[in-house]
Amino acid sequence: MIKLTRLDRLALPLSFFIFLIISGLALIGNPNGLQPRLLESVNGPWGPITLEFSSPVRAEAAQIAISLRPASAGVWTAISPTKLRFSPATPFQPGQHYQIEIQAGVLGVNGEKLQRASHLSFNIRPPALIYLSNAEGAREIWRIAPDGTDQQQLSQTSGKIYDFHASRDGAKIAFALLNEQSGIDLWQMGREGENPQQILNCGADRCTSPRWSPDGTRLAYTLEVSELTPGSGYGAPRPWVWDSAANQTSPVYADSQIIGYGPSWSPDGRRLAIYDALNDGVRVLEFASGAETFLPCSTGQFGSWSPDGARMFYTDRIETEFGPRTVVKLADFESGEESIFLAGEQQDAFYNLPAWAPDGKYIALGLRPTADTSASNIWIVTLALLGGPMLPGEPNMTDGFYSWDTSGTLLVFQRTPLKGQYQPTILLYDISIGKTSLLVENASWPQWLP
Amino acid sequence: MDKMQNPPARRIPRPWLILLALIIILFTTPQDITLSLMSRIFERLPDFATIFLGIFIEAAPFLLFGTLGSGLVEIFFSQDLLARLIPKNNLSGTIIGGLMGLVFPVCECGVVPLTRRMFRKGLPLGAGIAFLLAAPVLNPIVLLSTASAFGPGLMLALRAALSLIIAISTGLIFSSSSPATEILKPAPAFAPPQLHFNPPATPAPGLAERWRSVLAIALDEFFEMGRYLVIGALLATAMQTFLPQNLLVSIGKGPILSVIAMMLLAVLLSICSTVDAFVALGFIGIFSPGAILAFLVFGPMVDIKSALMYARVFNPRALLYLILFPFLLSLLAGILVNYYLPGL
Repeated sequence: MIKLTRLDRLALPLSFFIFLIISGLALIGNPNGLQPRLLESVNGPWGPITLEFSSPVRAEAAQIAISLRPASAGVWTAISPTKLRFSPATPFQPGQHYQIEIQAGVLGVNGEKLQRASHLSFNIRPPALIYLSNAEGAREIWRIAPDGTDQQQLSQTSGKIYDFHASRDGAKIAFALLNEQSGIDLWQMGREGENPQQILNCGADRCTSPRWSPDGTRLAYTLEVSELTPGSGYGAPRPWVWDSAANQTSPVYADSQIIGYGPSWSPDGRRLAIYDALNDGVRVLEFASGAETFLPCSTGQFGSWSPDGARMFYTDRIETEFGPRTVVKLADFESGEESIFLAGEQQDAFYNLPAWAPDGKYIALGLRPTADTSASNIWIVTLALLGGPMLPGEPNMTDGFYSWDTSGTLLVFQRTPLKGQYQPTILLYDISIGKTSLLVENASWPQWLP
Repeated sequence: MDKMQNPPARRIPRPWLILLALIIILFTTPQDITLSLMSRIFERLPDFATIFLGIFIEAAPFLLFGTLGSGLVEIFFSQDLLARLIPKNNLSGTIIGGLMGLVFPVCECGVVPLTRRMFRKGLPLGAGIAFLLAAPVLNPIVLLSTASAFGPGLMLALRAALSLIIAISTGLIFSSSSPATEILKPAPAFAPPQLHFNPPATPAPGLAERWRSVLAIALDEFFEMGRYLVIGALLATAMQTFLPQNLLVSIGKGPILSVIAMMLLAVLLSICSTVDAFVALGFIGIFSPGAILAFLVFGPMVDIKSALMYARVFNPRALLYLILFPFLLSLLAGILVNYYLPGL
């Protein structure tokens, strides 16, 4: 028989007691279960909506258990073991209140349960606009609400802003900034102008046309390397991409013979378009496969993407029996087909690049009806009807830099005098009431800040 | 009439018995199974050598530190000094014992010879056990490496606090129950050559002679404990090489099983506490936070090599409780963290 020592007599009951507590905990289960929370209660129309759980979750099970009200198409992806991100396929409606419902049940990787159905809500903030102030020596980025309120200077750069672009989630703004070596660096700041920080020090080179990828993780830009002798100019433009996660930048094309400017991401982030001035055409690169499409085009304008990223409008000059004509072409990357969408027959009409409305049903298009004027007016074209209203213009003024808000009801554009002092204005066209209103004077390059 | 006495039976030494058993198994197992097993073993031999060297080289310097510390305690610490430093009260003595880790940079290998030496110098049982279990975590190097891996946040604080609590609790259980003689194995006597520390008629030894004695003790203990380190490292290496660790990862789901899996992994990997925080960092997202914490708390207290060294110091039953209490308390802490601090 085993003789119990004094240590046994104390240690055995204690061990048994601790074991009982552990067994009790195992039987009762986690009293708190899985706890979800939304990282942001106010989001932009493109989200993304980030849901964080108290423990790692099984993404595939979570996708089945989660639903949105009003229903919204989109994709949930796991960005970390505890975080799921929803990227909507079409933008949320600004001002709308949305609710996420998560069914009760097992969701956790470690078997944790969501004890009861969870309801989380978020709002979509109304869109804002950013633009470049045009006052003498003060090229700064400003923000304004579409109703003309909340006007605020975002950048503080002593007037050195060269170019800028807002990310699709509206959280950050990339901008190109003149530096002291006569080069142009790339910077970024938050939507309130907070936390400005340099992304790339380009030295004497010019890093321009920053364009955020739709998911905001990469920034495409055009790099022009300075010649060896200071002041003797810059080399050919080449597209580069900066990866924010790795903080690394690399050329889009390993072949240094490929040159191009104006990078433009497809809305699904799968493709990048540039204009190749050497070969006169738009190069479209599909990242996943490395496949490239070349669209011959002699107007120098790169393409305009459809909301689903599968098609692109671009302009070209072609010879017809009536003489040379500017045409708007449509390239379909899924079918590989190209077709002429618009062309003037009786006389040449000069088209600027169309801006596709978010629902893909209509476009805004800059149109210069005759060759004897430089003024371009905006034409709203319903794609199914190939017709629509022309926004009233003003004599000796040209309208450009147009883009739709995410609801597709507001079109912002810039009106520039063709003669006299360069003092552009920013206007807003409301398609629901058919009315144009002045938003800001002496300002240029309007962009939506979702 | 004198009784006829049988001559004592000659016993076969244990290593020979093991070898004999292995030979029997080898020759009775079907040949294809033996060949397949042997080929798998030979395939993994390079991994085996690498892992073994990794564990041994990582642990050996700390064992050397510990044995040097043991030598220093033997030569420079008198029983009176230790008695003055450690309070007589059981609770305060045990708490002080746990906190002593803050000033001794020893990991789980080095702490064993040092503690054994301090027991010989009269360190109370509770204080010694609290020191033995807490020092591998509470030492400044480990705290810094944990802060570097996890940041100076809750994980660091919980690791230190839980290690101290478990060490003190275990120390109190031991000290409240039995005298040290029932718990500890008699330590081998190391008689440093020509050391006459307190002979009545000879002068006190000089400093050089004392240092020689420190080194002699350290060397003796290093080789004595080193054997167990080598055997422990070999066992841990065999476990890592031939047992699929993915199995532990796959079964380690849930707020309880994940903790048990990580604690077993800690025993299996036998990583030195100075670097285990960086290994634990790799398990974030795979295992629950409570499991990571349990790995960081339990691993330095008990692993294969330290358990073998404990076996040199403690009686078998005491050894069992020395493993069981930290296991149960670490498991409980890990589960509670999973339940109440899931975002740790």
